[in-house]
Amino acid sequence: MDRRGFLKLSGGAAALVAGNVALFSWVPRAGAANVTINLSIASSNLTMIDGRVLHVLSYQNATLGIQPTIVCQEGDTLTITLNNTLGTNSAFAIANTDIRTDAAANATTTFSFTVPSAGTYIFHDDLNNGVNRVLGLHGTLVAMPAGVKNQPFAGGPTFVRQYKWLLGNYDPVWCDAVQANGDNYVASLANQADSFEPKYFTINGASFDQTHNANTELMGAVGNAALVRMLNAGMAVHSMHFHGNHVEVCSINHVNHADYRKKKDVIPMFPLDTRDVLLPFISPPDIPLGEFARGLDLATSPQHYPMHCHTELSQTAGGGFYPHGMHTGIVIGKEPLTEPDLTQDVAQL
Amino acid sequence: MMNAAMVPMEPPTPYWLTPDVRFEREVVMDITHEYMIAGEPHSVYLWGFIDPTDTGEKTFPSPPMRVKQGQIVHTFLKASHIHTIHHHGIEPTTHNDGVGHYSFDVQGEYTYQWYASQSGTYFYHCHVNTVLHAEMGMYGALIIDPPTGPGTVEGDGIGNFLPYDVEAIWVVDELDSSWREHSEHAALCGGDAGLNRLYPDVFVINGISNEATVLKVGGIDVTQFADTAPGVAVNAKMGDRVLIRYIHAGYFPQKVSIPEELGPVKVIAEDGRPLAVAETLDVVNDQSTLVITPAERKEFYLIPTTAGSFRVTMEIQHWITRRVVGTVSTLINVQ
Repeated sequence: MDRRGFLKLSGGAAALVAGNVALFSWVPRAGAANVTINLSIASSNLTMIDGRVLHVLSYQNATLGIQPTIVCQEGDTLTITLNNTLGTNSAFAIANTDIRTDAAANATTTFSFTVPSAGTYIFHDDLNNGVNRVLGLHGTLVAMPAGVKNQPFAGGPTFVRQYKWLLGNYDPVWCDAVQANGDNYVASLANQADSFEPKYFTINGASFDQTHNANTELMGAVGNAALVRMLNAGMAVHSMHFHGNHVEVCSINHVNHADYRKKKDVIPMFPLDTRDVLLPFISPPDIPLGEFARGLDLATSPQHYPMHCHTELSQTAGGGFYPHGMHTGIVIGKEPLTEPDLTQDVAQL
Repeated sequence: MMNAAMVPMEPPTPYWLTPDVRFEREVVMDITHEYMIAGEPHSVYLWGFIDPTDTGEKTFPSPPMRVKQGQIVHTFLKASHIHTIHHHGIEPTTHNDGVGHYSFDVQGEYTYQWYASQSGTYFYHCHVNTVLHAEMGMYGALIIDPPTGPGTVEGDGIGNFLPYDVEAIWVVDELDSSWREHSEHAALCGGDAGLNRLYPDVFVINGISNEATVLKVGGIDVTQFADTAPGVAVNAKMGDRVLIRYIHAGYFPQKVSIPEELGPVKVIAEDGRPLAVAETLDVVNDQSTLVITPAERKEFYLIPTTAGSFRVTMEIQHWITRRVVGTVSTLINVQ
């Protein structure tokens, strides 16, 4: 789809756009806007990296795909129509806020709310002790600061690109149980929380080399700082380790750090956490300067690194297959051929 | 992306420089510690790195590396099976990062070349089938001192160097003795080896648990306890400035509790980077507490003003349920 043409065709109305990570975009405007979106709540199949097909529940839209990313501006009025096609009650809640609504089984619900302050938010189904969420009912809301394209919040650090990493865990036993016993089985699983034993670990629904795409793998020339919005929709405690560069901690669960940002190579991610970090894309500081003097040039020899969860159990798929889990790449010294959707959308502001 | 995993083809180190300091590490896969499990002594099989230029003692954790900020470092690895060394928190070139899937594994010899740009607390570990190899014990502490050497630490201010009188390095881990039955290549090519499941039954600081731990020193069996083991228990005088370098080497969250009687506990640096402003730990139920997640490092700084023996406890929490699955503790003895 030609993105600009589509936006032009849409005039001033809200526009849905397609991409590897589906986004919800809108045309430039000076202030807050009314934005509408339709989401169905339905079951679908998700194929894991070893070929295992899992029955998952998700918010979805024919254009947006599953586990969508919604980009708005703080202060916008967002109206969501939820068509719950499942045979069990669902909900739409934004973690760490009071924003939520129920979505009864086999019914359609419409509700509106004011998009909260700039930051990264998980929306999820909070019913059944997190079971609905971990079965796939979650997504991302990015609230951009008013009138700003390249900062996570007014006065925050400047970035060149931005990404979101939505973290998930899947237990095939739970997925199979819901498929076999029907949607309402989620209520039974709520009483068996201790039985949750994830075997698949994903970033944006993908694992390891599935993630080498413009929306997940971080890539840029030296100096092109990237904002990474991390959201933990799973049930496990993760510990995200960045090779190549320490990251600067910009926000932890919407507490922003404007002036002083702690530098870390491991970012704890507890369930329902959202943490935004800036990868500065500096020349890796522990390369001896003598290597550059002898001819090393990052522009012609970009450096490749992993980012992976150091709760190493999450580096598996199906009980083994290291490192085909919560793992992606970082490439320092090279511009991506395709910009991440989140950067493109913000450029439309 | 390069993907040369499982194809050992270690090249010469690119852009070779003359190092300021050089380490040698050789892989060994026959270390044993005897731990008490369910009231019975069990030999637990461990892997690690020895320093053939020193005593060559087979220790768990592996021998520490210690350098000064500003030095060019060579780490020479010799491995007869497939392994690497990743210097965790050090950010060199891809070739020297020790991650096989992005460069190469080592089955033979390779010299990692890196620069110690920032003083702080790091560690090193094997990055081949890491879920298994790190659990088997293939790690050791890595300390970068300020250019002046040990005795001061940068923290509570960028460029601010705090002196310390007493230093401890605590590497805290949980072990699942049943994982010793895995092949070193377990599930690398698929298949369910259960590497997503960990049921730890041994909890250690620097490889020592609270119950009798039998290890070899100079070929002789020595029994140690975490309450008293050298390098684990901390002995200080009132008014001493105590630096504890905490390295999380496990997979489950660790809740650290330090008795309030020891006074305020400050975190002055994390993950090898000084904090601009130290963070004083929250006190809950008379304990300064903090939850630390896998591979984080914290530098704790405290100045005890009360004499006594004070127990510091690490609760190991399940990574999903957050229930406590075990504890390990030691003492800070203040005279």
